[in-house]
Amino acid sequence: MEVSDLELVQQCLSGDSDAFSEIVARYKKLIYSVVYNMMPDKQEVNDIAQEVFIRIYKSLGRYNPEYKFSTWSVRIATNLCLDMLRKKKINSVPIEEIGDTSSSTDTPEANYIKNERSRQIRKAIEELPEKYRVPIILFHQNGLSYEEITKVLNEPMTIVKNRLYRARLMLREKLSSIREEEVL
Amino acid sequence: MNCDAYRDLMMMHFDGNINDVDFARLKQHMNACASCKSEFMQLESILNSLEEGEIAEPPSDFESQVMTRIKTLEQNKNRNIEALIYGIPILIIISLPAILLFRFSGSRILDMAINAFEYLLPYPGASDVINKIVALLSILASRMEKTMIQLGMGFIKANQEIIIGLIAVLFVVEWMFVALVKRSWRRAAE
Repeated sequence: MEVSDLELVQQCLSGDSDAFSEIVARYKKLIYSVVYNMMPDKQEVNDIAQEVFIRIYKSLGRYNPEYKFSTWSVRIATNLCLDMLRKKKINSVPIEEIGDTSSSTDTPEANYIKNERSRQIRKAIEELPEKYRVPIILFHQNGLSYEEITKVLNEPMTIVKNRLYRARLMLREKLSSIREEEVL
Repeated sequence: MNCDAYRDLMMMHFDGNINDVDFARLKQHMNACASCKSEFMQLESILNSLEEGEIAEPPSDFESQVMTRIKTLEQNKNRNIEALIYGIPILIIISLPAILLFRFSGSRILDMAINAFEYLLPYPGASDVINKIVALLSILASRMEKTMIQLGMGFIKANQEIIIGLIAVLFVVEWMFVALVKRSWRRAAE
């Protein structure tokens, strides 16, 4: 029978730090992809994802079982990412290597266009203010539900919904202005 | 219904939360309204490519990387506790004779020193413990020969400044020692 998240947490708290290894195994994919989507510099992703688990480990005592463990850990992850981004806001965002989304069946031209497009979208997302950026990443990239996002952000449903709507429209606006520049 | 209302339907569609009737109404409106249609197409293309985006996979040794860092963390925590366990008795042993001398000299400086302890020591309540030890020892000491005490008092009163200086130096040296030991432990662990 599978041990529940709460039981694992209790085992960790009673001094069995190996139980934490199981927690990491369960949530590494989720946390890793949240960090991946939040951080523009992909080279930092592994370090930050590790740091998220260290923070989770240190705050296990404050885990509230009313939340799903996944929601709680995503909350820690997004908070850490936002902290990191705020700290190095002054430093410019590095130019990303193109080609990481290519699939072998596409022609080089189609590939280039596709990559260029996803690069522009990522950049547009990075430029969104925090409060719009986080919901759009969590909903559209990480596939979290509204319910989960309200808990991660600790905001009521109406606010989350409004921000997500606004964020989509802001993205469209940004990207359509890029397209116009390219045409001119 | 105006375009704003249809935009709400659009959003419900991208939420994945629209019923067939509303979606049919939206499609009908977009056939008539070019600006809504282009907005819809643009949004759909953006959000689709967002959702298609590559899936990031953690490296296969991710757990062991995290667990190594956690073991180090635990060791450091234990070492900090060890530093306290060794450090505090040493501090008390070194400072006690000096504190005792001051109690007999009737100086207010003792209280100040004990208060200062509270800021120096990393856990609260330490000064209470020290106070109790001092009180106990002074009861013992009061049973000693009166003359011995008087002799000692005379000595202390004559050399008060030197003794204050010595205690201060002892405090600083001991504190630096504890800090150094802790730091070298931490370095060794990294």
